[in-house]
Order: sequence, then C-alpha cells, then structure tokens
Amino acid sequence: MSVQVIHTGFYTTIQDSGRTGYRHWGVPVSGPMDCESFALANALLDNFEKAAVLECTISGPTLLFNAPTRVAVAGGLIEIRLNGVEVEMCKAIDCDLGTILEFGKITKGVRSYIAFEGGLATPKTLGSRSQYFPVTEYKKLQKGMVLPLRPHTTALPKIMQVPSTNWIGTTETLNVLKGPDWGRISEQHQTQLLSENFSIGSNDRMGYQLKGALSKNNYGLPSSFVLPGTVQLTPEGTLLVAMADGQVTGGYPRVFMLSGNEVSKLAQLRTGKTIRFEGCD
Amino acid sequence: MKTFELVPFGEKTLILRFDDVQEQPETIHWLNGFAAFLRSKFSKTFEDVLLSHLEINLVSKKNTDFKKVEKQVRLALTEYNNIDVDTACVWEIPACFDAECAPDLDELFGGDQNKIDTYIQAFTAQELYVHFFGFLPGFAYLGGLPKELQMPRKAHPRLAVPKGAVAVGGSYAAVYPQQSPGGWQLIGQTPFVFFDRNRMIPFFLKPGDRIRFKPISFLEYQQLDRDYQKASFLPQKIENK
Repeated sequence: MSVQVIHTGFYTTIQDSGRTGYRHWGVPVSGPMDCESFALANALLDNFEKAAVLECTISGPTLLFNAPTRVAVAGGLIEIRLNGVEVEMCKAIDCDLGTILEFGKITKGVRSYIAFEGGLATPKTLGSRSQYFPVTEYKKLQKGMVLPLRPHTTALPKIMQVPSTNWIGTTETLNVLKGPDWGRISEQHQTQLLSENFSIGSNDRMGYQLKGALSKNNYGLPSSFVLPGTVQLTPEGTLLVAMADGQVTGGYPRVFMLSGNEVSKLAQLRTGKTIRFEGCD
Repeated sequence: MKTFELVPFGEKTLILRFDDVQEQPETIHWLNGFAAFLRSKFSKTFEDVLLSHLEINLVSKKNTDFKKVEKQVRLALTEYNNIDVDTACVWEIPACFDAECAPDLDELFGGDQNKIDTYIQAFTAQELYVHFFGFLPGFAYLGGLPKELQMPRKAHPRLAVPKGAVAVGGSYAAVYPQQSPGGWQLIGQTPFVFFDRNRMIPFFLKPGDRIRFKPISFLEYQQLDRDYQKASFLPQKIENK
C-alpha cells in the first residue's frame, strides 16, 4: 500500500501537525504553514486531525497509486487530474490501483494540502513525520519516493459542510496582539506598525519578510523565544514573521504576535502583496 | 528566587520571569532544572517548556489559561525546591584550536601566536554551561565565558560555517551542529556532532549540562574525525552531578 512520486511539484513536503516537545533542543515545530486548510483536507476524509499530508507550494506533484485509497485536496486553488480527467477540490476522490493523480499550478493562494485516507504512514523522526532537514533525511519530497499508505476501507467519509475558502490569497489585514517587546520600541515605530502598509518580500517555510517604511534601529535584545506568528523588527527596519520552520530563538524585538489563524492567511499570500496590521490588546 | 511574573505572548505562550536573576551558572542550572521539572510535571498542559536568555517559555497545547498556569508554577516552585532534580552532566569535548581549524584566531589577535595561545589556554580551562538551545537543532548557547574571552560577532556573516566549528559570538560560545551560515568567530573545531538523527541519542547535551573543551592536535583531530565517521560515538562524560 503506497503512493509513488512521479513528479514532485515546485516544493512539496510531508507535514503532520508538527514536532512539538523538542524546542528545548532548538528543533523548530514545523507542521503545516496553513493549519486551516490542513485541517480541512483531513476532515474531508474523517482522518485523525494530526494525520500526515502533502503540502504543495506554487505547484503540485504527480502521484501514482500502488493501492486503492481515497484522497482530498484543500487550500490554494489547484487543478487536479485523475487519469487525465479534471476532478474537484474539497471532496473525497477515490483512487484505484494504478491511478495517476496529476496536480497543476496553484492559481489562487500559495499552498494546497493533499490528504490521504488515514494519513501518510511515513516513518517518524523525533515524534513527527514533518520533513525538516537535518532532523529528517530530506527537506522536501524527492522524485521516485514511495510513500506508505494506510489500508483502504470502503466506508465513505461522512459528508461535511465545507467552510468558505474565499479568504485564501485575498487577505489585506492581519489581526495581531502586541508582542512582549512592544514597549521597547519607539512610539514612532509603534504608530507606523499599526498604520502603514507592508509588502511581502522573500518568504519560505522559515519566515516571511515584510518591507515597509520603518527606519533602521539598534534595539539589540538578548536571544528570546520565537514561535510561528511572531513578528520581529530587524535592525534594517524590515519585519520578519516566523513561520512553521522558524528558529526557536530570535534576537530582535518581538513587536507583534499574529492571533488565531492569521498565520494560515499569511501563508497563502504571495511575494509583492500588500498587508496592514490591525491591533488589539 | 520565588517572586515571578508571567508575561503573555500571543494566545498560547507565557513567559516566566523571576525577579533579580543574574547570568551566573547556579542561576542558569536552577532555571534549567525548574524548566525540566515543569516539562515533565505538566506534560499534559504544555507542548514545550524551554529556556531563552534568563527566561522560561511555557507553550500551552491549547490557548493559555493564565490562572491555571500561575497556579501550576506556584505549586511546582514549592515542590521543586524540596527535591534535587539537577541531573546535569559534565562533558569533555576534544577540539582542535590549531590554525587549520580556527580561521578567525589569526585576525582576532593580529597574528600574535602568544596571544592566541593565551586565549586558547584560558578558553579550554573554563567550564562552560548550556544556557539554552536555539538557532539550529542542537545549537547550544554556552554561557560562562568571562569578559576577557568574549568576542564581537563578525561584521559580515559567513555563508558556510563547517559542522563542528567551535565559535564565540558576544558572551556565548557554541559548536555548529551542522554546516550553516553564521556570524560567530571560529576559534576551533570538534569532530563530535551535536545533533545526529542517525545516532541512538540524537542530542547528547541537554540544557543545564556543562562542557570543557580539551585541546587536541590537528593530527589527533583528523584521527578522531575518521573514527567518528565510522561509529558516531559520544564524547566522554566526566561526571554526573
């Protein structure tokens, strides 16, 4: 029972809910960038909420099924072809032995999640299946990899009401809480952070860089704890939002913490997109 | 060290700060011991408990219940003070500080071999301790460097610091657990790998442990490196405290 990777897509990784319990050894938590879509993909198959899926970035893989199973896709809008025939997202898709499931480019949002019946059964390292080098052997999916699956059952997952996915790729404001170092930055920086626009610069699973008109600074702090959603103000005046694979410590003022599922929203925004922060205490 | 404050950090994390903490070995050992105690005692509440610079960070599995955590910390404080849970080990880490392994020493001391020798002698005589981990899996921030052994970080970080590099950055020393970009001064190299997923014990150091570097020649380094490649053995544990 397995699925074989024919093409990997632009940047595809195996992700379960993450690798907690090892941060005191400097190990990032990893897990999905967009937790909302990850949860939806698993829910569509009645999976365990932490089950391992494939996270696709920009484009998706081509998969060959060596056993019958069921998959479901959620997140960024992506074209899916089952043996050449287009199929829909957010629905259970039955795949027979020998099925080829081909994913195209993501046309809205950045990341899509492919869940498999029962979850991928790849080996765990430090309690998790999430790929993160060098904790795992590879940082992402490799061409030719064979991923073990769980046994197929014939019982159909119960039909669920699919929540709206209109938010994907369209977010303009992010709700934040003040970070623990908010009081250490100047009033001018505080005002600017809550009023100005920021554009998304380079970004990956470690972090998103946001560029605005903040001046250079020299706040210099000792190494402090950082987790996904923490926004730091760098000496160059850019913002750095820690994401799933972000380091557990950082040395810059932690000015904001994204609240609730705002990390998921950010994870679906592309380079060049403009956002604002909306604060609450 | 009983008065503390809990500072909220987002919806899942509380930062635990004690009044009047100084950066000295006893305090750091106490903090690390207490963090380990909280980690095991409240493993159902917290997904992670970890130190950063003089602080303990408590990451809840669900949104933080401030009152509940405050109660748990108070309870843990009374219990922790009554038992000895300090299981810190002292490790001897062989490392080569010859020019081949220490690309920054020459520049730091203007090529003065006497000054380099004095520095390395003092560095290897010092017992360091693991204050906390961060940056990379297995990257230990080693505290305990006296002022005269501290070094400013490099103005321009290197793109590739080799695995095993012994480095000094500000008030901390560290060993790079893997090849990575890095801005610390490279003063030596050890064949021992601080994180190895294929080893029975992926991390051998734990927060609160102590380290002494033992100087070895470049020849010894090469030999040890070859041996290590074959058998990923651990460095010597001098004692269990």
